[in-house]
Amino acid sequence: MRRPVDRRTFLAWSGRTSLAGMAMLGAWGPLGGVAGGRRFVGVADSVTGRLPKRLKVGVIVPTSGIGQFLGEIVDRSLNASLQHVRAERLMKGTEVDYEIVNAPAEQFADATTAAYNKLVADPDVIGILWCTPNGIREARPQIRRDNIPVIGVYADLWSEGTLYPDGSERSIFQMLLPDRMSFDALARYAAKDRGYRTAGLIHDSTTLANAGDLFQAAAKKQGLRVAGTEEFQIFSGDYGAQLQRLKQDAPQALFVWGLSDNTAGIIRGLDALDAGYVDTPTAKSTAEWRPHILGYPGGTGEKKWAELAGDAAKVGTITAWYLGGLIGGPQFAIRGWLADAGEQAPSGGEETPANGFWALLAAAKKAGSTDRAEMVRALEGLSTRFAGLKYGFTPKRHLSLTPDEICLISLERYTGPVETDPPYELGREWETTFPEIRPDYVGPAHLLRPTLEANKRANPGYMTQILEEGWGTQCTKTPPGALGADVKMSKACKVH
Amino acid sequence: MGEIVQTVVYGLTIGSVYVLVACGYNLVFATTRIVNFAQGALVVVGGYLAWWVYAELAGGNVPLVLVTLVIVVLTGGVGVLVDLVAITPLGRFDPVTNISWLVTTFAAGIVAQELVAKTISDTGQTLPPLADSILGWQGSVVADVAIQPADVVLVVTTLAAVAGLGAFQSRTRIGGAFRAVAQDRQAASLMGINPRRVVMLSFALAGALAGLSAVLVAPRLGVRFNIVLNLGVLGFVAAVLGGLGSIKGAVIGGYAVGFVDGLVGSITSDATAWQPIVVFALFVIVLALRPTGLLGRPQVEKV
Repeated sequence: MRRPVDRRTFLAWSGRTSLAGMAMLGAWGPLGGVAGGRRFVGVADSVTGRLPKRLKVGVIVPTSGIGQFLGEIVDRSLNASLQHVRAERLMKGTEVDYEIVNAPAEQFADATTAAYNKLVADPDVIGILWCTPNGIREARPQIRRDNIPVIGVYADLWSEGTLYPDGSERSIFQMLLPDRMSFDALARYAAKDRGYRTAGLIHDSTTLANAGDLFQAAAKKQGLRVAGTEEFQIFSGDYGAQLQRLKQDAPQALFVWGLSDNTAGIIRGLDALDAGYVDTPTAKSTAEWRPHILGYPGGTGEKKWAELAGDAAKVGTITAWYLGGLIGGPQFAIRGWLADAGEQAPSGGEETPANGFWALLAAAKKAGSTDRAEMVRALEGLSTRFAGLKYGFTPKRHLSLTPDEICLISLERYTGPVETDPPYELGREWETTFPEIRPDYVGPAHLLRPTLEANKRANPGYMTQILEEGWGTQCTKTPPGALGADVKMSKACKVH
Repeated sequence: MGEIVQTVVYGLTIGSVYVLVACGYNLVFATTRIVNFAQGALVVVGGYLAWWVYAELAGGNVPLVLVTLVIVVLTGGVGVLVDLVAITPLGRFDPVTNISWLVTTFAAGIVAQELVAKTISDTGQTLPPLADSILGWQGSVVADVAIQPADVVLVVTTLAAVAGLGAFQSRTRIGGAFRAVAQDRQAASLMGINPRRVVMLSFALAGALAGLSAVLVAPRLGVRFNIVLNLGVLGFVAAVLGGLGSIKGAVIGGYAVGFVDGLVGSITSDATAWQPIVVFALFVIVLALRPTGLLGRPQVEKV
């Protein structure tokens, strides 16, 4: 009923209720018409070739009820970003601001439609950050009509195949790591790196309804045999029947796709069944079932998940993530901005709204105009850097990420690496960044080896720094403690 | 074999949770003829209060049994508050013709949750079990089903609480007052019973029961907001199925819902779709055959 959990909470919680349909009707009804009529005022008033004195970024996000935590993250992120933009005079001569409009998750597309109509009618608003999974699908016809730049911060159209150019709304862009990419990266790791032959899935059918299809497709692509697919509801608290069936199917790798509250419960259930992960050889063994856990970014990628699961959260649990979102990395600029703005330390995900915010400002700056069509064209050629690493879009890619930027993160504990033979090493962030965040930090850290070559292609400079300065979980290195861009790593430690 | 064990374990543990929630509904219904739709929320509020007292205030350095006692008192107080803000302001009313209570109790539950989210925590938390082991037994896996000491504590404590509640209602003077108010509020008043106090006490007891449930279910369900819906709705189904107002009915209804839920979960991987279909179909069938629930008695008025 309330507050599913942490940050990326109800990704893909699309308007699957009748409310969504009602909102859709509303969008084409009198309210939509009024907003649509007014929207052109903003465009006509904008001065092509010169930015207006004042511009705003509109933000649609829940700031109350079940999704309030999203609003808190977004506001924190944008406040720090705004202060940074002002302090550094990044938009010289133009007064910049953002306006948050509450779209309670409980009201689905009804709320987002109202918020959209309010923002699109404001002549100062140059673009919209869509910081909720709700409503963007229903609003697509309106967005196409208005052609206002919209950046999906917590909405995953790419995985559904509806982000431009697959979809027809050219003004929509996406910052969020898509689930399809996460599944592909994890399935590749399971099959090619670990050598697993079978994989199972247990997923939240309320908020991540299409996880089953994405998993099947990813497994098939990598030649993994699907051994068990189970579902649970976000409201569930007992997973005994699902785990019992999965134990009979005994997949070597188990994809756990859900929010941290639920997935922590599943991991505790596995532990109670003596099915906790140990290492790869044990996961492959037929003598006992101890699957390798591969998880959803909003679940096993959360520090909160490790806290809720306690000892059942095993080192070696792997989650897909992306280079620009590593809060423990050396180039996560927004960490400093949050501190400067008096905000709490990052918990992950703060970079996404910040980068979306800057993408809109940078597009206006590049276009020299707030004309929507010109801004869309500017976004399509944008390559910039703000809260973390470089990102951008192209005319054929409205998603800010490429597959080469996907990396894996591994659960680690502040007590240090688990005992393995040979041992592996934890990176510099455990001595520098994480103690600043929390001295007893337990959570995910960048696991370098499996995606190293792809990550080097995506961002060679960053990866060189990582390797030379010794960041990230270093796997087993030869010789131990070695640093440098060409350091050799192996999977000899067997846990990841 | 595995499916049978799983159904039994699920039915007993999750069924116990529904029994406790249903008893909360029944306590209030028996004295007021209204359904306190804040009952599910009170369990969650109790869970967060328990986490706050145990982990934040005491830093985990206090026996959980002691925390449970504190929480039972605190949630009892919250129950009284629900009565004061959701029922008392409505004045004297006929719950059949004036259904404002439906909205006010539901709203009180939402307000209580929001206040907890704003002041205590808005993310999931954990509480350790009341007992890690029972006489050295630390849990077993039977036919691929995990059975934990916390599960046994949950079931045994539920049955003990229900037995205590039954004894309280049938063998104490206050219990007699409960029954008197339930039968005829005006007549009870003429006999020197203060119906307002009895109603308030029923809300306090329902709240206390929610607090107890919160601590008992935390090791299994966690402390989180998104279990309110299941607890509230299925607890209500259990209460109605057994017969609103009947403690025995709550036990039968709670375990019936738990076992049916567990059975469906064991049979099909698509349980998330089938569980509500089967549970609510059963609910409709039982009410069609026995409109007052399995153990409910029709109200007869002398004319």
